[in-house]
Amino acid sequence: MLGRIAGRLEEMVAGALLAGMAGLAMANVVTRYFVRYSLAFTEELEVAGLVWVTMLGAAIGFREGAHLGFDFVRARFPAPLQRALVVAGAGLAVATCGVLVGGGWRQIVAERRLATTSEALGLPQWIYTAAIPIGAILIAVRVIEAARRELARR
Amino acid sequence: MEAAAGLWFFGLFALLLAAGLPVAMGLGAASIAVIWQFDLGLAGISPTFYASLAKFQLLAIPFFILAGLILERCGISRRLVELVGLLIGPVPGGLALVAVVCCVFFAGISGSGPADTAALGTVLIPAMVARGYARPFSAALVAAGGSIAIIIPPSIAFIVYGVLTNTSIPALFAAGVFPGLVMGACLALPAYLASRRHGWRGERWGTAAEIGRAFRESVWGLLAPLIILGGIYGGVFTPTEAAIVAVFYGVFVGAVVYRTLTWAGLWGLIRDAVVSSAVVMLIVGFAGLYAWAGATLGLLDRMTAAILAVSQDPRVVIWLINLIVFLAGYLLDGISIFYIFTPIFMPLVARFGWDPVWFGVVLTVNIAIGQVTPPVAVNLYVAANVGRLSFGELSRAVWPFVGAMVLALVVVTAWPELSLWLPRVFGLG
Repeated sequence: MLGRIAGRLEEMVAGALLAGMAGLAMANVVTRYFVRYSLAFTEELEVAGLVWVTMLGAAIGFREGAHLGFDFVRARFPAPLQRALVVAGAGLAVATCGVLVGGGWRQIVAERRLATTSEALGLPQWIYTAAIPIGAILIAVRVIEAARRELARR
Repeated sequence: MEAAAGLWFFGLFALLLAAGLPVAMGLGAASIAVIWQFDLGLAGISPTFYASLAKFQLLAIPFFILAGLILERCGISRRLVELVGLLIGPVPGGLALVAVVCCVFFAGISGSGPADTAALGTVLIPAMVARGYARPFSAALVAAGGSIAIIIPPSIAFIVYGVLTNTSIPALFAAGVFPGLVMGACLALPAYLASRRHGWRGERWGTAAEIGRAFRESVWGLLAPLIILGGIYGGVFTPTEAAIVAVFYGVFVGAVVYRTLTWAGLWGLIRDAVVSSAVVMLIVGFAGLYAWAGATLGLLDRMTAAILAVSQDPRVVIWLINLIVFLAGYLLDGISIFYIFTPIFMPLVARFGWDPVWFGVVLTVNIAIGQVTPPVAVNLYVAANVGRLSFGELSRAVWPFVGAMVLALVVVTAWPELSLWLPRVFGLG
């Protein structure tokens, strides 16, 4: 049960975020044209939501093998080498995520030290930035899971 | 040192792709390796990646993807195919021409080539096969027609190009309309000729009553492009706003008019939109990082100089650019091409005084071809999947259509007014 919830975590959060962003954006359109009152400051939330949705959705994409890539070079190699490439590829992807986690964490620390706030709403900027390290951790987990399945298959 | 930098920058990415890394991760890993190796500042990575994603105009991407999914779920492609079939009748190549017309029309709802291919392929490929059309021919035609989605507005490609080059997205959208129609006409040519040779025909003409009923059933779908484009060109909506209005229009049509859209169904579509747009946006994020690394290394400037070293004649350079993008289209997806190549090309656009709107259309038409040139061809992956045939079989059947699309590219390149007239009429040029 817990595993199932963890497995669907990104979907729940990202789906709810996109639905919320759509609602906000529509409210923005309606108020701007019909009530002549602008909710323009909400654009900041929508943009921040886009970053979160991207990172969470990318993690789901790795679980489902939805990301664009190609296999025709790798598929020509002997099986042991293919397995080695799967491991190496996953290792590099995880390392890439690791750099994003480290960089994102440092960015958050700097933003908290300087008490950087967002432009329109004055929220702490690090809430938005946190999408990068948290998303990168989730992506790394899904990359490892996918690589394990891939190894079992080859 | 310079040669070494170039080798690292391009060679490493190519190597990672060949090793089977997804494009986004290949771009990310290659950028980080280059940034580390040449000491460009690791501290810049996270902010650059974040800034590539956090752009208001990019919000139109998930919204247009969601709108396309919802409208498709309403059964718009099925109804559209029926209506156009009744109108075109039993002429040679009837259903193939229906496919082209529906692809052009659906491009006015969808902004993504693979989405367009999936929506129409599910309906058209089985219908064409049932009428005796060869399966590879049918799937290849829908894949090629699906690429019109990024030329006729709305278009993810134009959104990305507009964001990257600071070009007006409404102007780009308007500029894509006639080139998209030209692309449709060019595709109709080989479709018609092959059908006539094989004796493939359409169904029959509908009676006035049948056409009237089919029209009433599909009118809600027919209205969608009018709302999207009418809203933008009536000066009412920005592209992002038009996208969100299209989402709610789709929900209204699905839930109130056709009563087929349930909460569970809507949630599933939202989930699919999350993944589809994240796949695009992750490439946007890492390609932004890759382009930043290339620019910081000074590599992109040198690529520009290399093109000018070949020729300084704008008439030669534009075809050279087309050749580069065409070849890149075999191995790269459209978004990566935009991020890697526009920083190289834009100084040339400024130098020769080209209109960036026209240039964006030329690149986009070329990238549309890249969506069907194997081995990396997103529309062919989708068409092979929904058409239930092998990728190799489909790849062999697509060449006549690639030829037709190149013809459209030549027309669009040689005749800038084809793109620039409509934006001017709307006061955007």
